[in-house]
Amino acid sequence: MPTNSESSGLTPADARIAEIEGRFGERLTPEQRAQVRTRIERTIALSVAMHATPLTNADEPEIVFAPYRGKS
Amino acid sequence: MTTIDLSFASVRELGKLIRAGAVSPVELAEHFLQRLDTIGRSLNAVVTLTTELAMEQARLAEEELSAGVDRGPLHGIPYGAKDLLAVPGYPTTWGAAPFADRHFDSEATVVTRLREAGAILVAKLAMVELAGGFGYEQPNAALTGPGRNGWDPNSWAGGSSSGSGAAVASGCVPFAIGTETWGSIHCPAAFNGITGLRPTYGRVSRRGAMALSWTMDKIGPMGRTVDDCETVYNFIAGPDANEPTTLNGRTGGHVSTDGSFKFGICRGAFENAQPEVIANTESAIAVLAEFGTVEEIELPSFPWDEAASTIVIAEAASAFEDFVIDGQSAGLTAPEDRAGLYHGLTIPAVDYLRALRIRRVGGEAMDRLLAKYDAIVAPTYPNVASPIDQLFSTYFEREQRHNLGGVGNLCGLPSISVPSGFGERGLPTGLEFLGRAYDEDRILAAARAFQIRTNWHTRHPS
Repeated sequence: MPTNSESSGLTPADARIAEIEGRFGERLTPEQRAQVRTRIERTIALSVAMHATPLTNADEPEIVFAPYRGKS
Repeated sequence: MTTIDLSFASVRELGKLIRAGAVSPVELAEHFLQRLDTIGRSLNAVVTLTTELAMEQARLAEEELSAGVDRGPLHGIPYGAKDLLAVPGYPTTWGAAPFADRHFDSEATVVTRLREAGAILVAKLAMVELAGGFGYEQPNAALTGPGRNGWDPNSWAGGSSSGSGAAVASGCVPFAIGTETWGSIHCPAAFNGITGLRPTYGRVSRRGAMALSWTMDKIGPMGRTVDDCETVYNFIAGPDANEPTTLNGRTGGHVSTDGSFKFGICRGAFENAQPEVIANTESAIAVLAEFGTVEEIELPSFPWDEAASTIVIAEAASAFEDFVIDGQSAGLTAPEDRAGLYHGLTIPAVDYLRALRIRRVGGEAMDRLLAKYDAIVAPTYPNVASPIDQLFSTYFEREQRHNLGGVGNLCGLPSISVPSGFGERGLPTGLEFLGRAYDEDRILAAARAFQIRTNWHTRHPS
């Protein structure tokens, strides 16, 4: 099933850049916009690389959650 | 006074001199404060001299030792702390201009433990702004200017614990405290030719330290020798009721008692290193073979660096979300840091969670491998320090190079970097011993055995 960005014709990078532009665009210089784009593209590449490692439903994240209970 | 060069003496040597009456804690504090104020500042290694506190602590140490109260091997020994550790009465800048005047009322647990051990805080040391979490790309990324190398001021000190590395190397402090999320102890340790211990995640309380990445930040000692680092580590490690990650109660395995070690050599981690680094590492492996077995290994195949990067970026973006959204990052020193974490705000939660899932399965695979060895060994970095005025991408990435930093930090594993010789431009190289989680004792023993047989750790800048 396509994501919203894919169905709209935007790449994932375009969609994320649009989000940053929408929130912070007025404070970014052209150089900074280019830098943000480069770094977003890199984080997407990180995701692609991670998705090459197969995981099963049983592979839980390395998080230990302990429900909080106060001392009293 | 003594004929021994105080500036480059080990903690143990200084302790002996104090107890022999050859030098007093006050004289030591004055000696290192003077060096910090001159040499240290010239290397951009100092944020704040804690002169008043240091002299107060030194006088107290002198009184106590004279009265027969001995707090142990750190009593009366000066040290410096990376300026992301809170110390009441002094600014804690996190190396960043927007926080230049910020004070905390509380004291970092590490600083408390060293104070209780009788150590004397002489300086808050320079660091890359916000521990490098905003993606700096060249050395001039700190409130105090580019961190200069203790061996060559025209080369970088490494980061992000730049001042800790340069100050120890240049004889401005006997030891220092650094922190590492990914490389920030090992990089300046290797680049400055000193010893740096990165403990297992959760061994040392992070309370009172700046948070960059909650699940990857570690605090550790940087010193001249393995012995010094172990001495300091023994005082700063241990449970802290206010820091839950220190409370899991896990302990390491037994250290070899017959002096025989098993080393796994990860040649894949340095096949593209600088030629001098390769040569120094091969020489070091020959030394390791004198007191242990040496076996070539390959790391399990996981996207170590990608998962580690995703976690650091996502956690840093959360830790500094308000700072970024409020536009405060525009006040950072490095131009590339000013918009440096906007991309982190866009990382999907599922990507972050995938990285944490890879950490689990990858960590299990690494533990199975490490269970067979006392340490996996590789060059700490495949290169020496870059020139002070050069982009990292120009110097470090001229070939594809890897080290054990991604896997070691993603999995929270302990590691120690020791000097292994000299390379390009006469700059130091480092050798890393990576151990199984909670096995600090084993890597310390192995690295100590290496230093018994080598003298790289005794070299210092002229």
